[in-house]
Amino acid sequence: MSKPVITVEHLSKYYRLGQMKSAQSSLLSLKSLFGGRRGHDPSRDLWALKDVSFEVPAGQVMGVVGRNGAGKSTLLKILSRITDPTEGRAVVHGRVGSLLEVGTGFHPELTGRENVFLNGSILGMSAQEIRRKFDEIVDFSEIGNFIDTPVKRYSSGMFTRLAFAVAANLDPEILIIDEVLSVGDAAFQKKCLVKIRNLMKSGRTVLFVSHNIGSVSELCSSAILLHKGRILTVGTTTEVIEQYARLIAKESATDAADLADYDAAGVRILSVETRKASGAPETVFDISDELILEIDYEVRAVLETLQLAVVVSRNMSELFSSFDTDDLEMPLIRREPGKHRATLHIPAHFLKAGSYSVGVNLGTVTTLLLDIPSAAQFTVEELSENTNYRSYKKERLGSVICPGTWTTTNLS
Amino acid sequence: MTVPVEAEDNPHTVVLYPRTGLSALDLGEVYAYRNLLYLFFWRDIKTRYKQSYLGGVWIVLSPLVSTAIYSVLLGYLARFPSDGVPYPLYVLIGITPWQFFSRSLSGVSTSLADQQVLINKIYFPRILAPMASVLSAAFDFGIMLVMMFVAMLVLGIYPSPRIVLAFLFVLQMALLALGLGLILTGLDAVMRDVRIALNLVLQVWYFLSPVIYPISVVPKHLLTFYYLNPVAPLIQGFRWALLGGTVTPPPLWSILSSGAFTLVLLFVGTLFFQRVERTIVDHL
Repeated sequence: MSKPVITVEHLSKYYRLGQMKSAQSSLLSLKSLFGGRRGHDPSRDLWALKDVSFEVPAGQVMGVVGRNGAGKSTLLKILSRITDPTEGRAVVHGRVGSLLEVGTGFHPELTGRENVFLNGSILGMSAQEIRRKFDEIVDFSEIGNFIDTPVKRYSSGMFTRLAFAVAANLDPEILIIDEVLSVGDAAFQKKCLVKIRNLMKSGRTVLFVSHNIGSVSELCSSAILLHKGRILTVGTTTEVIEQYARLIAKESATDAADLADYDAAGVRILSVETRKASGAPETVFDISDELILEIDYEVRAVLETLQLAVVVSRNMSELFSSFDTDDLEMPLIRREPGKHRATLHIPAHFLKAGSYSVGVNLGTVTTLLLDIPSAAQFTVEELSENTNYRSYKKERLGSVICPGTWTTTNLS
Repeated sequence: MTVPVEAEDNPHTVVLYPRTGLSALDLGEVYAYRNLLYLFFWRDIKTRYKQSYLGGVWIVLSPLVSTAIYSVLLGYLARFPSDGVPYPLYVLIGITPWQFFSRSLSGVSTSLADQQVLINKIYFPRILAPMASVLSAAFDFGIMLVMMFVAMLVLGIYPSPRIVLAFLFVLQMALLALGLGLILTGLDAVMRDVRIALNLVLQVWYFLSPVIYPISVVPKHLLTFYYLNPVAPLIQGFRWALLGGTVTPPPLWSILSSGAFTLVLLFVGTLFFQRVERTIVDHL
């Protein structure tokens, strides 16, 4: 094992929340700036990072994953010398370049050319270095003749392309990358990804922070899972991602509606569950998983024309509804008393990543008997696949993965 | 807490730890970042008057208008004495260094908060931000200086070799503004009240300094108090160095006390700033 390039020992960072909210708290902030810790309400404080220790060996590409607020940004801020830690220390051997925020320091009134020089210097390049790489940067950005136009006239795509081009041509020994993969259009993203992969393969030590598990598992050999400021796991990417998935599952298993509260004359819902294809109950699915929705209900008196409906919502807005009678020729079904199980198979590669909730209602043709708005929840994640250049990447437009297929034929 | 020492096998090795106590300014690092300092300065100059029709003309317009107003009000109507020099030139030679001082001071005082986007994302020696503010004020001063010299030549007043002293007074003014501003900018980053209060203070300070009137109007028994204002001997000295004979030079003791004041402020300001910059991001 090679010598560590980054050594982090018991690193902690303490934040006082509610700073800058009022004159009073800005006085508190002033006090805290000079080290005093008395005279404030500690319940509003937070250890953004607590006792974090790890090492990154030379040449390794290490992923950092965790939910929002897990401490990822704080860790990067300390490692890129933007703020001091509160406790502990870190030793960084080598020049650090960070792709934390592409386009930082770009000035709208300056031309593309001027901004390349300004931004390059801000990111730590020398003037000669920028001059040497200038053509390469312009080529990569595909800006062409617009290089002498003020960047305020650029489209947002052009802006990000130029900004990324500068950052990607940094030549540091240690590279810190934070969520830069979502810039530009799909084609440019692919180009960025190739560029980043090359940077990573060139023997640089890389710290790669992302929400996107797909790109972490593709690019990183090892990873760290941060949760509420602490390290939960350090290990191989696979281990860490599994742990991360379990964590998400636990957090998203918020209590579903209490089914016992819904009891109508003659009928009640017993359970609403989501299962994997194997039949095992599950609340976290990958986009490549088939999902089985299982609803058990009890009929106590004969019901003519009973119909069960589910309404599946993604990220709080209704995605589709489906009736248990959709597949039948004659949708007016009579249900005898007793327990029934309705099962809906949702095919793999249909639901995009997101958080879902399932509403269930039961009724006859004329009357709605039961309506449970949120009977179950589940999430779909992009665990197995890097979706950076897929149309169904979580952040892109649209709510489902199109089940259609594409072909392109050569017409010439 | 002792500073952890690591085997320096890489010139770029950095140890990050909670710094406590006072630390000196790392001049070597500032020198290493000189290109960025220049670019900050250049960006400020380049963008300030972009998309304005008159552009750089605005730099000279404001002192010209002030000069015109004071010339009419004080020079022509109130018949202020001006040590035998035409009043308009007399007041212009006061306004030019004052504007340099006040622009430097307010620029430095707001520099941390004004650069917060960058400070939030990227490491660089934070002191570059206030330093660039002084440079940018110096650029304006240079342009005003040209205008001032033109006015002198037109009126047939030629500077003597004493002019070298004028630049020393200006340099001291820059250091004074930097020292005081370094204290204020850390406070301003947390409480923006500081910049508003500073504007008010500068207005009062302006009238407490020999900018628009000659020292001779100050009552003799108050002169000692008057010269305790560290800016007063510098502006009076600047005017004396340029106009010579008819203008009374500031007493030597006042130059020395102003110098001592400048050094103390610069020292305290730098230490204070070095202390504040470590975690200023958390408070912006």
